[in-house]
Amino acid sequence: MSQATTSWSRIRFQDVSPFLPPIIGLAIGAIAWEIAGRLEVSYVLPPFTDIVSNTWDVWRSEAFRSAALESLESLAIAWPLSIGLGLVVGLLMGRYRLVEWMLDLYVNIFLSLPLIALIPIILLLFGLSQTSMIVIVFLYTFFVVVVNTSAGVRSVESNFEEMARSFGANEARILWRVIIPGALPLALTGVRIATGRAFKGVIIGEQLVRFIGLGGLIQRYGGAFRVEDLWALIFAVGLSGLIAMQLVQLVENFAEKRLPRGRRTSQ
Amino acid sequence: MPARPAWTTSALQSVGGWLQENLPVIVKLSSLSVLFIVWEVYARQQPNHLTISPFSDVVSTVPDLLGQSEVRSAFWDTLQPFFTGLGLALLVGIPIGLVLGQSPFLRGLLTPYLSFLNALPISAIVPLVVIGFGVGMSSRVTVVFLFAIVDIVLNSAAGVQFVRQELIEMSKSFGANRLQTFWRVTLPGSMPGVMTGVRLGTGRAIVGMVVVELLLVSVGVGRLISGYRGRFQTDELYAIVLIIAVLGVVLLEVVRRIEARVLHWRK
Amino acid sequence: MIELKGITKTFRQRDGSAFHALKDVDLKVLDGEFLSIIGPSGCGKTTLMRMVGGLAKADAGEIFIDGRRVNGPGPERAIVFQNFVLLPWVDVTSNVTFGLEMRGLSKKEARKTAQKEIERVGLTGFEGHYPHELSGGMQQRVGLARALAVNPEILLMDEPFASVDAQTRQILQDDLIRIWQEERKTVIFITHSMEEAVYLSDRVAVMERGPGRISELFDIHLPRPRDYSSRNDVEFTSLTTHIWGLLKTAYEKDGDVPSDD
Repeated sequence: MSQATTSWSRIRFQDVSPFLPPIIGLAIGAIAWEIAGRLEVSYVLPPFTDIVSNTWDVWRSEAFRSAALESLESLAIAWPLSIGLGLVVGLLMGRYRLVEWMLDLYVNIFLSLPLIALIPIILLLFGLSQTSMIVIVFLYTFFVVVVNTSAGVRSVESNFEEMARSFGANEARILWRVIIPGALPLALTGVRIATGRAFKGVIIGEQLVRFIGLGGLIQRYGGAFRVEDLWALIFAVGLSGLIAMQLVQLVENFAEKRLPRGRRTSQ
Repeated sequence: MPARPAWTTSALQSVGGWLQENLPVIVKLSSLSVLFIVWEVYARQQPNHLTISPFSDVVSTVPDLLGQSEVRSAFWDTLQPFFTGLGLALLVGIPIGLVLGQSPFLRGLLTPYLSFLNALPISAIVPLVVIGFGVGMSSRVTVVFLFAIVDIVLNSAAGVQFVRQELIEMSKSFGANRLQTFWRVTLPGSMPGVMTGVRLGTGRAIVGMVVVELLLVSVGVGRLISGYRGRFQTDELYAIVLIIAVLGVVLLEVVRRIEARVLHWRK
Repeated sequence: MIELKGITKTFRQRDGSAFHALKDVDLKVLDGEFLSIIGPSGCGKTTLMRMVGGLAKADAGEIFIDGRRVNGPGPERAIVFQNFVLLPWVDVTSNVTFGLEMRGLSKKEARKTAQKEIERVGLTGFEGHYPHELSGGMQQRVGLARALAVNPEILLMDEPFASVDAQTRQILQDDLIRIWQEERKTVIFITHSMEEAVYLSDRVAVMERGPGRISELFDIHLPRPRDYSSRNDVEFTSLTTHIWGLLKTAYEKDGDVPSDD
């Protein structure tokens, strides 16, 4: 009987242990925050419990819902567009040298310059409107997907291609059976990074315009010194970004498992 | 058909060879010039230059701006919080990362916070920072710091984790104590990760610097931008954005050079 | 003298069952003796050497060196690693001085000793090179010089020549014999190769797996100094043939198992 107890406790510990430190960390943070709040250490740190209860109210408010809907709308238009185009252009760039030569300077320029500096110009060109948000999200995401997809295509070992060719496969078949599955893991990494950046792009864009979406709401609440409401918005934005990235990560893991190992290089 | 003199053939061949050799450069440059030509022609066709200036006007405005002492001091005001915030982030972030890299428990403790900050658009915290610290230097430094710190911590920690375990064992086998092993093996071994953190953190700090200028009541380059926008000085607006973009690229290139110097021992 | 008494090590496998990496291993290695340990993958030979080096602990049993119990690494032992394990961010000289500096020698003193060892392993002129600029064979010479520099009584070598090509391996073996002949340090040499074991050693221990243990010990009476022609000796051929017989049986019995190194 004692044996049964020990093995039971061991299994339970092994199952729980990876989650234990994060939970402890969150608990410590929450308690410290609560104490700091009660001691009124800073105006921007109200007690944690107040923030939690207020967060729920904010999330149900009409102002939050309509703002969140506006932000999601920009994302829902820009994200699929830039991911889809990014995957196609990345595939072409990775596969055909002429396309690579034509586009890689642009990709490098847009990846290395601080895109945020372009926002004043985008607002000038496209107005203080949702169109600007869509352009910003597109620029924030497109090039990341392109560069990761083309790297994925180039990472497919030429052995597999030669093997396929030796069996008489044509270009379309090689693309479909060898190149695309081989490039997928890295391409999906690009999609995940792009998804995180999409949230950042839309929020900062809206913050600058001030009257669109969650970003606009953040600026307005900030101007009115509504600290607790600001925290509710920060949680909303951070958590949705986190969840979106985790979802893409799930797809990534699924693709990693389903694809035969040999089709990828160790990188 | 008369035989062509030998020199023509060889000249033709050498021209062909030159073309073939430099084809990538030719394609790249012509592809880039297409952008500038389209930009130039489109802008010149506009009835006014309220939203877009011809490329040539933008470029020729750059030296004018750089000649103005007002512009130079604005850049100095912008760069001060950048360097302070980035410096602090490095000073704090690298040691934290090195500690986290060696302790799975502490890593677990902080994981929720780091993943949240990684997914959160840091710009969303800016109103809170302003409420807490006002619109002065400390707010600016804090924003740059918050932008830079996450990548620095995460990559430094990853650097430690990627140190080959064999090297640590080797060090122990020669009688090294923990401190000696840290200084001689763990620290230099984690430099690739640390330097990646420095590079990415610098990139994020540049974004933070621009966010500060665009969102806070501006003293530096941000004030120039809003001034140009208000007075419809489109040439100047485009030129200042171009200068910021180039400045960002240059700063990153400097960090890249430092990185290559530090990691000279890599293949 | 190195004494291993009743060394036992058990790993828990994924399915929860126990894997007896080592069971009741007894072994004595005399001062100045060159002993090779050979055995199939998974027989625990590398684990055994790591225990002597003080890098791994036995579940049961003890190891004594000159009567003192081994409790960790010590100055009388130095390890030459299979994958060289050089610090990639410092040059050859600083790699060789590593062990000396850990023992508190000043950089200057350490450099003097290191220079001698670098000459001895034939790397003169490469002092300022970084590991990635060297071939595998040269990297292992650095590993050997680093171990020799601390002047240990015992040299522990973990398949040191397994990662280099066949010709380089031959040359490294001959150089090792020459260097060993000068000082006659005690050597424990782990290897996969029967020819290498017989060619280098005074004694060869053959291990079995499942559970890992020493099945046979052979004295090698090939006359020293040895050179390539020693391989033509009748004893060389008959011993390698005999050891191959033992190893072959082990492989046929259990099939191949994941390597422990």
